[in-house]
Amino acid sequence: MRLENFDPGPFVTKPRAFRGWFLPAIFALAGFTVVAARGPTFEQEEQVRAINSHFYVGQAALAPDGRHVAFVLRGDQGFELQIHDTAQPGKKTEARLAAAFLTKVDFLAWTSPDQLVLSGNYIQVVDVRTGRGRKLVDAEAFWKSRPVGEVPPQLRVLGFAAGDPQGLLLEVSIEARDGSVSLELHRLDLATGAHERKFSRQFAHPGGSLILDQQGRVRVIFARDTVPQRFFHLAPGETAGEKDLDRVLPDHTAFAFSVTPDNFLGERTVPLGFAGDPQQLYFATNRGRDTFALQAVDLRTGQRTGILAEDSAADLVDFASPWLGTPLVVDRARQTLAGLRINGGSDTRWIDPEIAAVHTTLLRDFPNRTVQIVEWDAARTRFLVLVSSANDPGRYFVHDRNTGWNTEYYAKLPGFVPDHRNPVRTVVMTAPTGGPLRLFLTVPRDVSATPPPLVVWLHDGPWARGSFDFNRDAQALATLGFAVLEPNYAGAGGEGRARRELIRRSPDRIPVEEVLAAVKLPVFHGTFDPARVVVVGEGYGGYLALRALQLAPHQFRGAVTINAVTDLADVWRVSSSAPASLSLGMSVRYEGDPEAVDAAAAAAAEAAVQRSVAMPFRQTDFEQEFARWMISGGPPLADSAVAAQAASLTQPVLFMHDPFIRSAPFASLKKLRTELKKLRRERPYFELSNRITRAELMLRVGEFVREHTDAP
Amino acid sequence: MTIFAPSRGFRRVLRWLFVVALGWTAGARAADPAAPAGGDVVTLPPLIVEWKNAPLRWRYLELPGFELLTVCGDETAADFARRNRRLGELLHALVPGQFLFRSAVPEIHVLFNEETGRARSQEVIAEMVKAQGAKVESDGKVRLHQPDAPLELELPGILRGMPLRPRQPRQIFFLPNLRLGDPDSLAVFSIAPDNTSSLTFGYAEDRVRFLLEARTPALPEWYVAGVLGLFRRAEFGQNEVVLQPLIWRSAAESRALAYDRQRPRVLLPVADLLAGRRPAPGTTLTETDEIWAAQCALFVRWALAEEKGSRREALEKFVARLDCEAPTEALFQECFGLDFSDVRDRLSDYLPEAVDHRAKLPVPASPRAPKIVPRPATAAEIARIRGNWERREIAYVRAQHPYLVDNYIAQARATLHRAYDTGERDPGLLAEMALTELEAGDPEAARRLLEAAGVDGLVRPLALFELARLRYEAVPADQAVLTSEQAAAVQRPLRAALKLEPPLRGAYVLLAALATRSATAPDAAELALLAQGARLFPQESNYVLRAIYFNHTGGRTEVARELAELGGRWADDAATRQRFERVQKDLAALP
Repeated sequence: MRLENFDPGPFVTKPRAFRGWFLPAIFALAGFTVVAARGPTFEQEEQVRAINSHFYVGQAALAPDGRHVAFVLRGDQGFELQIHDTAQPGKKTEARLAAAFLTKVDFLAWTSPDQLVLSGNYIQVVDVRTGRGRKLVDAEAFWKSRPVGEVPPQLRVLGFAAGDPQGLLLEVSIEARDGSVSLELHRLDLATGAHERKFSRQFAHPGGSLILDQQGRVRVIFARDTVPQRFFHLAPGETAGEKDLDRVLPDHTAFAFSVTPDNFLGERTVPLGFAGDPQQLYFATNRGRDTFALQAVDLRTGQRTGILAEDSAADLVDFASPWLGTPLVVDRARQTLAGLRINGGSDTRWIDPEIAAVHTTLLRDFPNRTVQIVEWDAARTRFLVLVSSANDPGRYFVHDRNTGWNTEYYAKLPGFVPDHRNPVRTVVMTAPTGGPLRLFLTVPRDVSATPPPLVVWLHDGPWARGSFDFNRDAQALATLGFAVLEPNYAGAGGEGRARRELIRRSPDRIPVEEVLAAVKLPVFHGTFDPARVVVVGEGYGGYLALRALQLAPHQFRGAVTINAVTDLADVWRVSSSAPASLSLGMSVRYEGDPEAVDAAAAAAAEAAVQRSVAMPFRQTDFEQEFARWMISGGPPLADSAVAAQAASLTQPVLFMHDPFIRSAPFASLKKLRTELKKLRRERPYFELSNRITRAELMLRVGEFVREHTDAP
Repeated sequence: MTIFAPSRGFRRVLRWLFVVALGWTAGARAADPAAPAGGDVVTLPPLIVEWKNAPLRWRYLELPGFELLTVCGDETAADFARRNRRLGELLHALVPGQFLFRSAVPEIHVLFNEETGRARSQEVIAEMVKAQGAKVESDGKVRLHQPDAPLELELPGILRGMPLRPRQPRQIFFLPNLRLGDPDSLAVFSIAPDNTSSLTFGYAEDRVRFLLEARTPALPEWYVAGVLGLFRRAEFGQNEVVLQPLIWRSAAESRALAYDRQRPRVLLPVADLLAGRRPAPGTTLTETDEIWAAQCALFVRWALAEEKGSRREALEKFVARLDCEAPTEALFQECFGLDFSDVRDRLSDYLPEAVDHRAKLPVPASPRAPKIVPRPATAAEIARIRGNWERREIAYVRAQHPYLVDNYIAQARATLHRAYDTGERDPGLLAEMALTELEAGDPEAARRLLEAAGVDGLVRPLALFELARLRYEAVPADQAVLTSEQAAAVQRPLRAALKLEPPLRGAYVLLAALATRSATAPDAAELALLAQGARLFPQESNYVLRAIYFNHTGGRTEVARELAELGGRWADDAATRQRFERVQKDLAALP
C-alpha cells in the first residue's frame, strides 16, 4: 500500500522479510555475480538487540528523608515498582501498580514518606505501606473535558509547587483541528484525583512553553508562533497580564530575549527558570561571547549577577528550547539553585558548593564516568546517583556521605554487559575552518589484526549534536565490528555560536570537509582502515552522507541514509502551505519501537503517525522568516541539491526511509531514486516503519557496511 | 587457635583435620624471664633426643629446594615429599611462583612420627598437637579426636562467627607442624602417621601467608588479602584446585546474593581497593574492612577464574609492575585494558556468580616426578639438619622463655658438634655452627667458623651476610674510612650474598654503610645494587635516601629521581613523605 506508484528497484527488502540471522543470497541483475552475504554472528545479533532493548530502569526517586529509594523496573510482565530501605538495601518491597496497560513511565516522585506518584500513560499514586497503586487520570481525561481537537492532549508533568506535595502540576497541550493549541497548567489533587486548571493560553501553532516559579505559578510564556518569537513575563502578585520580557528589564538591549531569524543561531538570551525567589530569573546568554553561560537577574531591579557557570568550549544549555527539559536543579528542601544540567545531557555544573563537593567525591569514586546526582535527601546525607558513560547507559547508586559507600541498585540496561561494551574516546581537533571540531570514536572491543572498516556517523541536524552520553547506534555498529566516528560537524548545537553559524555559510561543503579531515587525523592512525569508509547519516546527516559521496566519491565505499533529507528546499522551505519538515531544532530521530514486543503498542504508534499525517504540521511565520534568512546568506540551494546532481552519485547507497516521516519528505527521495534509475543506478531501498526495531535497522546498516568494505 | 576433625589416630586416614600452623603459639605466654611457677605449662618447641640404646633411624631425602630428615617409613617419607611438591605446584594455580618467597636455601623438613615419646619436652609436643586437635597420651603417642560436629573457628575478620564446614575434601588433612623461619629459609617440624597407605595433606593458611608476606619486594596488601581470601575457599586435590563459592561479607549475605542477583551491594572504588591495607592483627574490623577483604578476594578470583587466562596474565603483569610502579589507573588500564570504573562494574556483575558457583582453576601440568627414594642419612646430614632446627628453636625460646635458652643452645651445639668432632668440615655444617654461635652470643666463634667455611663454600645468603657483617664490625669504630683491603674483605661475601635469593634487607643496609665509609665512591655496579636494594625495600626510608644520594652523586640522576618517587610513595608518615618530596623537588630542579 505504501509503495503505491513507486518502483522500489531491485533490492527492496520488505520490513518483515528482513531477519538479521538470515544470510540472504544477493541476487544480481544480468551480468552480476551472485554473492553470498556474510552476516553477523548470532552473538553479535543478540548483543545488538540487547543494546537496543528497553531500559530496565524506567524511573528512580529518593525519598525526601532519604530512608527509601524507589525504582520503576520494566519486567517481563510489564512495569513494577521496587522500594528499597536505604539503611538495609537488601530489604525491599514490591508495590503493585494500578492494573492498566502501562507502556511508559516518565515521571516518579515521592510526595511523602509513604506515597509515590508515577506518570506514564496515566498518573497514579502508590501507597508504600499497602504497596498498592491507584489510578488517577490520563490524557483522555483532559480531552474529554475539552473535546476541541482530533489529537489526544499531551501531558507533561512539571512537578510540585513548594509546600504542596499533594498538588501535581501538569502542562496540558490541546491541539485543535485548525492547528492552534491551548496550553494549560493544571493542578492535580493526588488525594482526590480532581484536577483544576490554573492557567491557559492560546497559541496559533504548537510549540509554546510555560516556565513556572517554585510556587507553581506561570512566570514566563514562550510564544513560538510570532515574529520575533517572544517571552512574556507574568509578575507575581500583578494582574496586569503578560509583559514582553525584553520590556520588563530596564536595559533590555543587554539581554535580547526575543528570538529573531537573525539571532536564532547568534547572540541572544534564553530564560531558564526560577529557584526560591520568583523575581530572580536564571538565564543563559551568549551576548558578547561564543558560548551560552549561566547568569541571573532580579526582575524588579534589573540587577544581574556575574557569570554563575560557563564553559568557553561548550554551551551550557541547548540554545533552542532548554526549558523543555529541567535545566535548573533546585534543592527541593531549601528551594535554592543547586546546579545546571549541561546542554540537556546528564552532566551537571554545580553551583551549590556542598553538592559540588559530593560530585567531586563521586567522580573520584567513578573515574571516567559521567556522574549525575539525580536527587538528595533533605539532610544531604544520601544521594541518588546515575553513573554512566558513552558505552554504558548507567547504574543507579545511593551514595552515603557518612560512610562514603556507594550502594549499587540497578543497571539501566543489564542485558548489555560490561564485557560487551565497546570503548569510546573523544577527540577535539581543529576544524579546517578553524575552531574546535569534537569527534566521538567508538572502536570494536575485540581487537583484530587488521584495522576495522570505519562508519562515519552523521547525526541528524543541523543543530543536533553528539555527546559522551550512551550511544546505542555506535555501540551496535562497533559490536558488528566497525569503528564508528561521529563528528559534531559544523552547525552542531552546544559547540558555540561560531560553529553553529557555519551551517549558513555552507550547508554541505563545510561539514563534508570536516568529515574528510577527521578521517585523516593522525591520532586515528591504525585505529580503523581509512580506505574502507562508509558514511551513514540520519535526517540532515543523511543529506550530508549523500553530499559526501558526491563531493568526495573516492573517499567512501558507500552511504546509508536513514530518513534522509534529500533536498534542502525541504528544510529551508518558504511556504506556509507546505508541511514543514524542520521545526527549528526539533529534529525527529527514527526510533521505531525498541523491541516491537507488542502488536498493540505497534498499532498504537502506527495510528499516531496516521493522525499526524492527517493534521499536517504547518510552518510558522517565524520558520518561514528563518528559512528566508538562511537562504539569503548562503549559496543557492540548487548548488547543494542531491537530486539535481544525481549523476555524481556513483557509489553504492542504501536508502532507509519511513514514507510517513514528516522531517524528510518521501517525495524528494522518490525524485532522487527516479533520477538514479534513469542513470541505471538503481540503489536498494529499505522501508522503515514503527514495526522495524532500531536493532533491525542497525543490523541492516551493518550488512551494507560489511558488504561494501570487504569486512569478514 | 587450632582445630580439626575426625579420625582415630595416625594409623587411620585422617579426615577433616585442619590446623592453623603456628596457631598454638598465639596462646603462648609472653616472654617471662623468671622461671615458671610450679604447674605452669611450658610451651617449648620439640627437642629430639637420642637414646643411646635405641638410636633413631634417620632417613634422608633430597629434592630441588627441599630436604627431608625423617624417622618415618620410606613410604610415608616419599608420600610426604611428593605431596609437598605437588602442593607447591598446585599453589601456583593461585599465585605464580614469582610472587612467593623464594630462597637459594632448600626448605628443611624434619618429619617425626608418633614416637613422640622420643622427643624431649613432651609437654611441648602435647601442647602443639592439642592446639591442633589431638592429644598425647601417656605412652607418648599422639591420638586424634573424632569430632562430632563442625567446629567453630577462632578466625579473624570476615569469617568470625561463621559456622565453618571442613573445607578440605575427604582424605586431605593438615599435619600438626611447627614452622620456624630464618631471614633466608624455612624449616618445618611435622608429625606424621607412619605406615599409612596415602599421606595427603594441605597447606595451612599460615604457610601461604608467610610465602606471600616474605616475598621481596613486598606484595601489595590487596593482593595478599585477595589470595588468602581465595585460599580459604580453595580445595587442593591431587590434580585440581577448586574454589568454593565466595563468601561475600557473610554466609547469609552470600546466599541472598546468590538468590537475588540484583540484590544491592556495596563495592569500594577500585582506587580504594588498591590503596587499602590489611588491618593490624587484633584490631576491630570495620564494615569497610570487611568489604575490602571480600572485594580483594573477589577481584583475584575474577582474574583467576576466567577460562581464557587473559585476566590471569593481566593480574600477574599488574602485580609484577607494582614492584616498582604506583597502582595508577593508567597502569591498570595498560594491564587489564579496563579502567577502574570498568573493572568495578565487572566485579559487581561477577559477584552473584562468584557467591553461587564453584570455580575450577587451571592447574599447571605436573612435570614428571623425580624418583623419590629415601636413603639413610649421614651423620653430617643429621647434624646439619637437626642442628639447623635446634638452632632455630633458640630464638623462639629466647623470646618465650629466656631462662631455658641455655638448654637449647647446649642441645644445638651438641648436635652440631657430634659431626664436627668426627672431623666433618662441610661448609653447610660450619655455617650452621656459626649461626648457632651467633644465637649464643659469640660472634668471634661465629666468624672463625664462617672464615673456615670460606666465601666460596657458603651458599646461604644469611651466612654470607653474617660473614660480611662480622668483618665490617671488626673494623674499629673510630676508623672513619675503611682501607681498600678492609672494604674488599667485606664486599666479597656481601656481593655473593646479594646474588642469592632471598634478598636480605640487612645486606643492602650494610652495602650502604660500606659505601659511606669507603675511600672511593661506589662504582656503577655498586650504584646499581644500591638502587636495586631501594626497589626491593622501598619502605626502608633511610636506606632509600642513601641510595638516592649515592646515585645522584654518582651521576645517575634519573635513577635518583625514580627512587625519590618510590620512597615518597612508601613513606609511612607525613614527615618522611615531606622529606622525599623535598628531595624530589631538588632533583627535579636539576638538569
